[in-house]
Amino acid sequence: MELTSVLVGAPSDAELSRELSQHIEQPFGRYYWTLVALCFCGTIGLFALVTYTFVMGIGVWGNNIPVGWAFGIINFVWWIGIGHAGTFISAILLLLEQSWRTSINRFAEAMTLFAVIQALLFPLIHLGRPWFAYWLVPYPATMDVWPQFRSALPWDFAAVGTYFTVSLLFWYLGLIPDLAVVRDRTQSRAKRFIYGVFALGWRGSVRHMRHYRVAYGLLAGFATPLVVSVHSVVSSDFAITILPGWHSTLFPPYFVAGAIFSGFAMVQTLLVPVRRLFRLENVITLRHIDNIAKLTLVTGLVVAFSYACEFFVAWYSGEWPELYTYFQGFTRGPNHFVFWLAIVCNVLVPQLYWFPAVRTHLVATWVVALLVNVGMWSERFFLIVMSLQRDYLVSAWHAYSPTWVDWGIFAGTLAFFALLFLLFLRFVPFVPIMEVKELAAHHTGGTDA
Amino acid sequence: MEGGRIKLWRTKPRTLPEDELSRRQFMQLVSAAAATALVNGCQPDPPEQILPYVRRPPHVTPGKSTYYATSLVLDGLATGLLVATREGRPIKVEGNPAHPASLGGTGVFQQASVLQLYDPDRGKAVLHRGLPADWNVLDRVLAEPRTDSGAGLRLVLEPSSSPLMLGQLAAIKRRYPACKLTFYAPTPSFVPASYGAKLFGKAVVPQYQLAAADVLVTFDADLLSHPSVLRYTRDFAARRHVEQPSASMNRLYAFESALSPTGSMADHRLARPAARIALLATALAARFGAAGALSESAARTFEQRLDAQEQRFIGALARDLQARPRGRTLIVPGERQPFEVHALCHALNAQLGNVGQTLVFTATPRLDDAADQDLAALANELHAGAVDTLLVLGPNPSYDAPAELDWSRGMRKVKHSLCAGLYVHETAEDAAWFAPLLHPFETWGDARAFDGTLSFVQPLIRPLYAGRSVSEILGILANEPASVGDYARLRVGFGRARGEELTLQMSAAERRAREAPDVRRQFEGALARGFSPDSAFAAIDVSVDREVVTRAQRSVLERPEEASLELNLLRSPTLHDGRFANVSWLLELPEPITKLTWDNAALMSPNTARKFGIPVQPIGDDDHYPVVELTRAGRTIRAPVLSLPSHADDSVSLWLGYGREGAERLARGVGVNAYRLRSWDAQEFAPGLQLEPLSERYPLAITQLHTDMHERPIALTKTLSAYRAEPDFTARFKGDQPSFLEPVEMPGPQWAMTIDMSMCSGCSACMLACQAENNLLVVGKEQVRRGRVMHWLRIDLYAEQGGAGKVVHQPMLCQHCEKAPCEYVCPVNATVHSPDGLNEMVYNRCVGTRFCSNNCPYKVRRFNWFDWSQHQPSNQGSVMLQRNPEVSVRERGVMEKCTYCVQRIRAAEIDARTEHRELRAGEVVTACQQACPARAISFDSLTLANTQQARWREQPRSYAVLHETGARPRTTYLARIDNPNPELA
Repeated sequence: MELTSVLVGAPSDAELSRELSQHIEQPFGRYYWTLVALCFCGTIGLFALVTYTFVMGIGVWGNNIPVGWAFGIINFVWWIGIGHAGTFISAILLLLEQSWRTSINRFAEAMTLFAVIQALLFPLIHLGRPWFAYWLVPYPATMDVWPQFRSALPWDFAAVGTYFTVSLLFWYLGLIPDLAVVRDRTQSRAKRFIYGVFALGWRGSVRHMRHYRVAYGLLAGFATPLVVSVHSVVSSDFAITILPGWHSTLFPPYFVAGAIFSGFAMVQTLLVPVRRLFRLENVITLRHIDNIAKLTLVTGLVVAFSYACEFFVAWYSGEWPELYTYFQGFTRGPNHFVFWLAIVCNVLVPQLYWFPAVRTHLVATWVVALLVNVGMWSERFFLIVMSLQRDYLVSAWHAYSPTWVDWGIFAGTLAFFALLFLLFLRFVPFVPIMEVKELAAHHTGGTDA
Repeated sequence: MEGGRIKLWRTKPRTLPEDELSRRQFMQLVSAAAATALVNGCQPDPPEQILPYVRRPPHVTPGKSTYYATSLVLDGLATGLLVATREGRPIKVEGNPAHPASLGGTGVFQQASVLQLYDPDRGKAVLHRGLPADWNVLDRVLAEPRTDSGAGLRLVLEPSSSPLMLGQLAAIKRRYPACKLTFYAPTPSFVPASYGAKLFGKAVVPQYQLAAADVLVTFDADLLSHPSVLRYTRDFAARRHVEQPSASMNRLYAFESALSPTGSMADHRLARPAARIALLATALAARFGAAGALSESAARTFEQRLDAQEQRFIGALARDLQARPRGRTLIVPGERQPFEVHALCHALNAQLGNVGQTLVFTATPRLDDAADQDLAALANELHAGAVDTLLVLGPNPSYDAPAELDWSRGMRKVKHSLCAGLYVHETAEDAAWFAPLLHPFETWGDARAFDGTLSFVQPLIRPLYAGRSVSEILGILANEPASVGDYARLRVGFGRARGEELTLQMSAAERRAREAPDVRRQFEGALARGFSPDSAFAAIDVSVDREVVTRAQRSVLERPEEASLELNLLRSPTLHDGRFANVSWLLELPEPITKLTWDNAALMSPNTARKFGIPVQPIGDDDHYPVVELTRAGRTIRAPVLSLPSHADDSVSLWLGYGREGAERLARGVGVNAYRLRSWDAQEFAPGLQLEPLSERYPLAITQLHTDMHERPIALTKTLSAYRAEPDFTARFKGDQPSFLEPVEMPGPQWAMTIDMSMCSGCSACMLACQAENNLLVVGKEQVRRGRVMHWLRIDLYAEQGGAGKVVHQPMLCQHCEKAPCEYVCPVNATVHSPDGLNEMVYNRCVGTRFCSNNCPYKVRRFNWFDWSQHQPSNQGSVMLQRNPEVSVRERGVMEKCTYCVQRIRAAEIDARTEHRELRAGEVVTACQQACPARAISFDSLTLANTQQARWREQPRSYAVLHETGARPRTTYLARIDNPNPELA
C-alpha cells in the first residue's frame, strides 16, 4: 500500500541517480525563470527597503513607545521557528532511525538554512544604530567593554549564529556524496569543475564512507540539542522580562513546540508542490506527507496546550496586569483579530489532521499547512505586539499599526526565501541520492549503493 | 573661519550706546553678534572696534550659566523671572523666587518664551506693502508732525501696566490731544477695575490670599492656571499638602463648564454651562441674603429653577461656609463671568468677613483707564473712514477680533496703517507697514505684577533682528529725542518718580551728572533683583454698595433662560490667545486635561453629543474623531469633537488661539479658529450655537489614550477622613521586597525624588522646563499620533470612571529604579546604574534594541526613531541657539529618558569639591522641581538627614508606583488626599 511505503517501486541505482539529478541536468522552462525573476525583484525590493530604513531611521517602521518591538522581531522569531523542522527531521529523526526522513531531509535542511538567513537579517536591521550591531558580539574590544551577558540578546546572537553554522555544515556534509554524483554524471566541463570542487574529491570509498558516517552522526548529535536550545534562547528574549504576556517560565518549551509546528507546516507547504512539479511521487510518497501532517498535529496540540497553560497561569496569578493582558488585551484589545486568527489557525485548523483523508489529500493538507504558517506568524504578533500594547501603566497604552515598509520588508524576506529555494531546486540535488539508494537497497534486499 | 568672522562684523546688529557700556553689555554684544552671524543683516559696518575675548570679566565663566532678573509680561501683568544665559545666549527660564507673582515658579508660557525668542519665523525687517523697507523711512513717516492734533490718529496697544508707557502715552496725548487710544486683548486674564468702581465706588481689583482660605469657591475661575500669577498655585497647593493625617487642609468647590486644572483639584465640582454659573452664584448669595432678602415668592420660583443636584450642592456649600470662622473662606468669580457674578461673589465675601483676610482690594496695576475707546468703537470709526493713521502695536485684531467687527476690511480702509508685532501675523497683512517688535528678552522695560510690584524687563541678548520695542515707536510719536534708548527712558522715569530732575532731552553725561547716588543704587538694585521691593499696592478699604448687588441679583434672575446650545470660548492652556501659536514646544505640549496636542477640538459632554446625533467616541486607540459644523450668527467652522464626561451638558467649549493664517509656518493650519464664532457683546460664552454633525472624521494627536486605572494601584487617592481612619493605606505599596541578590553597597549621595500628587494641578510647566533643560526635540503631529512623543516627563491623568471630572494628575518620569528592569536586558551595557543611585543612559553605547523600553513598566523611555533635528523643520534654524550646552542632543537610533538632571547634579558636585565641602541639602534642584509653581516635587539625596524629601518620604501616604514589580523605584509619590464635604460624599 502506498501510504505505508517511503519508496514506491524498486528503482535501480541508475534510475534513482537519473531521476534525482535530472533537475540539475535538464534546462528549466520559462515559468521557472519567470518565478526566479519575480523573486529576484522582491529580493532587490527587500534590500532597497532595508537601505531606506538605514538611511531614514527605524521610524519608517510602525514601532512606537510602548511597542518597541513589532514586525522585526515577529519576523525574526517566525523565520527561526520555521528553521526548526529541518534540523528536527535531519538530526533527531536520524538518531531515532526514522527511515522516512531520508527523502525529505535535504529539502528540510535547505529550508532551515534559508529561513535562518531571513531570520538573521532582522536582529541587525531592527537596531536603531545597525552599524554598531557587532557590539552584541563578545569580541576583545580595546575598551574592555563586553556585551552585557545578563541580557538575552547576546545569547540570542550566539544561539542563532551557532545554529546557522551547524545547519550549514550538516547540510553540506550530507550533500557531498550527491554532489559527486552530479559531478560524475554531468556532460559540461564547467559543471564538472564546480561540482567537483564542492564534492571535495568524494569517491565513495569505504574509508570515505566511514569518516562520513562518523562526521554525520557527530553533527547530528550537535544539532539535536540546538533544536531545543535555539528557540529556548529566543524565547528568553521575552521570558526574562517582567512584561505581562512575556514574563513566563513556560516560554522555552512553548516556543520550541511552536517552532517545530511551524517548521513542519512550512515543509509541508513546500513539499506538496515540489513533489508534484518534479514528479517525485515515488520517492516522496504519501507516507511522508502523512507523517509530516501527524507531526504537525502533535506539535499543534502542544502549542494549544501551551496557550491553555498561559491563560490558566494568568488567571491563577491573580495579578491585574496579567489578567488584563490575556483576557482583555489579547481578546479585545487593538488588533485583536490577529489573536483570534492565531487561535483559529493554530488550534482549530490543525484538528483537521485527525482525519487521514485530510492528511493525504494533497490540496487539503497543503491548505491546512499554509494556514498554520499564517497562524504562527499571528501568534508571534499577538505575543510580541499585543503584550506591549497593554502593560502595567495604563497611561502609556498605545496601539500598534505597521507601515508599508514593515509589510514590504516582510514580503521581501518571503521573496528572498523563495529565490534561495528556487535556486536550490535548480542547482542542488534536493533529494539525497545516496541515502535514497541505501533505502532502495534496503527495500530490495540488496545490491551495492 | 575667516568668512565667518567677516560676516560676524557685518551683522553686528546695532551700534554700541556709548553711555551705557558695561562689561555685561559687552558680553551680550559679543555673543549676540555671534548668535546673529546666522542672519544676514543689511547694515553697514559699524565704526566701533570689536574686541577679542582675551581677558574675561570676573563674573563670567565660560561654561557656567549667568542668571539675570527680568520679567515676562502677559496681558499687562509681569511675572518675575531669572533667565540663565550661557555665553550670552538666554537658554532657560526660571521663576524669580523673590518676585511676588512667581515665588520661583513658572508657567508654561514663561518656560516657552525662551524658544519664542529664537523663533526663526519672527518678523525680521520692516515691510512696506509686503516688501522689505527701511526703519529710517518708517521713522520719518512716524515722526512727521500732524496738523490735525491727532484727530485721525488711533493707537491699539496690548493691555499694559508699564509706568514707562503711561508717561509716553501722556506725552503723546499732550502732543496730539485728539488722538484716541485702545487697549485690546482677546482673552481676559484680569478683572477690570471698572467692576470695582461700580461695586465699591473705587477703581479697585481683588487680590486673593489663597493660603488663608479654608474653603474656596470658584465660579468659572481657573486660578490654578493663571498665566501670570503663579503665586495662586503655590498658595493653594500649600494648603493641600497634608504633613500628617491629623493636619488640616483647605476645601475647594468649583463651578465651571469645561474641566480646568482648578476644577481637577476641586473636592467638589459642578459642571454647568458658563451662562448658568451666574444663577448658581446668585443662589449661593441668596442663601446668605447677601444681596438683600428676596420676596418669598421670588425665592420659591428661584429655587425651582435649580435642579436637585444644584440645590443639594449649593445647600451643602452654604452650610459649609456658614460653619467656618469669619474670614477663613473665599469666593472667587472668574474673569470670564459678567459683572453681576463679581458683585454677588464680593458681596458674599464681605458678608463672610473675607475682605481684608482672604482677599484684599487694591488699585489696579493696569493702565486700562488711559484708554479712550474700545475696539468695537474703533472698528466703527474705521468703517466710517474717520481714521487716517492707525497704529496697532502688539495686538493681532485681524485674527482675534470678533468676526462681526470685520476688522480686516476696516483696517484696509485706513490710509496709513502700521502693525508692529513679533511675527508677520494676520494684522500685518492688512497694514501698509509692518514693523518687527523686539522680544521681551531683547529690550528694557517695566511692568507691574498683579499686586502692583514694579518689575523690570532687562535685555538678555542684543536684538536678533532689526526690531524695536513698543516704547521706541511711541517715543517717536511723543517726539522724544531720537537718540534716547529704552534704558535711558527707564532710568529717567525711575529717577523722576524719586525726585531726580532728569529729562530725556539731556545728554547721557548730563544725566549722569545730575543723578542722585542713592537713586542710582536703588535703580541698580531693582534691576539686579528684577523688581522694586515694597512697590506693591496697599490694600484699599472698600464697602459693598448693597444697591448694586441687589440690582445685580435682579438682573441675573430676570435674564431669560436660554434653552439653546451654549458656545464657550476658552483661552488655550497651551497657546494662550494665539500669540504662542508658533512655539513648537507649546504646540506639542499636551493640554493638561485632554492631553491633546497640535489641534483644538469642540469639547462637549457625551449627553450633548448624543443629543445632536454625534457618535460618542471616548478618547482611545482609534484616533479619528467625528467632525461637526458649528454655526453661530451666520458664521461656520468645522471642528473635531471630543466627548468628555467631565464637561457640562448643553455647552460646547473651544480653545481660542488656533487656526492661524499669518506668516508663522508652524501655526498655520493647526486647529480651527474659534474667534470666528465670537461676537463682541458675548465674548466668553454665548447662546445660540448650532451644531451639525458631519460624516467625516479627523485624526487628533492625543498623548494619553487611557485614563481608567483598571483597578491597579497606580495613582492612589484617599479622602482626608479615610486617611485619618487608615493612615497606612499605602503600606502594601512600599518597603523592601524579597530579592535573591545581595544588597549592593552604594557609596556617596543617593538621589531620589518624591512627588506630592495632592499638590499637582497638572499645569505642565515641569514638562516644558524639562524640554528646555534637556534639549528635548519636537516630533510633530503625525509622530505624536504614532506614539513617539519625546517628553521625558509627562503628566498622567487618571479619571474616576463615570465620575464627572474627578481626576488625579500624576507626573511620570524615569523612576530610577534600584533594581531597574531596563538595565539587565540591555545587551550592550548602555543603561547602567551609577553609584549615586541614578539609572544612567549611555547614549554613545546604545545600539537601539529598544529592549529596555519594552521592559520598563513605567514606559518613560523615549526613542530617537528619526534624527529629529533633521526630520522636523521646527527643530532647525535659530531655535538651536536655545539648546543647553550641558546636555547632548541625542543621535537617531538611541534611547533616552529622564536623567534626574544629571548635569545639575554634577555641576553641584564640582562646586562642592572646589569648595572642599560636602553637598548640602537642597543644593541640587531638577528642572521640573524648579519650575513647579506648586512645589509638588522634592528632590535630594537620601543620605542627607532632615531634608524636605526625607520628611515627605516618611509620611504614611508615601508609596511607590508599581511596587509589586520589585523594581524599587527611587521616585516615590505621596497619595492624593481630597477633602470632600461629608454632606456631599
